[in-house]
Amino acid sequence: MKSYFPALSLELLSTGAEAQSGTVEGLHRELRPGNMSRFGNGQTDKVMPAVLASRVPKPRLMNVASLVDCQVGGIIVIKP
Amino acid sequence: MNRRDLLKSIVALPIATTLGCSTFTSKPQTASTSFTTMNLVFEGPFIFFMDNPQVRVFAPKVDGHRYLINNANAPESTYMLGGVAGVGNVQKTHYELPKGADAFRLSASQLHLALNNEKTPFFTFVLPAPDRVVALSARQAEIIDAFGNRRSAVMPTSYAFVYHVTDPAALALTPDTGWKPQSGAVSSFANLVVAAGLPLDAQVLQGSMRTPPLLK
Repeated sequence: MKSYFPALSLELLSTGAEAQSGTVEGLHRELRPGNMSRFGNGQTDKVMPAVLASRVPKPRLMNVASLVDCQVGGIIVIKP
Repeated sequence: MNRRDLLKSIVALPIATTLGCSTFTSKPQTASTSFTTMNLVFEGPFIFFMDNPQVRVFAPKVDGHRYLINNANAPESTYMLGGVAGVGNVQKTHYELPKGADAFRLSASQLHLALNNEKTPFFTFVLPAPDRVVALSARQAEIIDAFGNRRSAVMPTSYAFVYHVTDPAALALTPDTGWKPQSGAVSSFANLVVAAGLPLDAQVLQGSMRTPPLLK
């Protein structure tokens, strides 16, 4: 993202859990924050088996709390 | 015709007339929805370049990311939304952001930010200035802000661009991705979600990503 604004020096060090911050009228239930529509399954966050997921080739430990930590946000650039 | 037949015909006449009128004046089974408001939701790492006369929203190309419109994979393109209008001037757009989100709302002039036009995003949305921009979800974040200060902030992860619908019949995305305003609509509110990011299974395979590759 930084490459779109080469002069931008903003850095993200770490993030916490996602939470609702606002709402607008008329949103469909499945579109409300926390429903993770970007994954296409319309499901909410859930606890998964910590050792083995069906698509993982071999058993491994997963940090459940960080499953979605690589989901990042956007930046708004206003002019002027 | 005897008296009995005459009575039968008199009794039957209003019924036949009513049925006949009913047939000719029947209304369509499905009335078209009269949309008044359009919520365009962006989830994920987008860049919102709030310029006049049009706002541009970019979804950077990132390896492994999926790009969805209305919950379906969508092709790389520049999209426009018809049938809506905003405030006309992006300076008048109203922002509803959580406290601490100022770190992610940057002034191009203050920070001397110039858009690198050589970059080719996956999605570009060219839109009117929205009536409102509302952060729907956010994360706490530790950042080094654009002024070089390390601090805690709140990073919005999804935004709603709210428009008023000017022409419900023209409410459509161009090029067409199959989205219809009726899908996901709530009464007079049309909803469309555009999302970018890693699919859940990819996140599992990659394991913990405590330091997101946001600003590479």
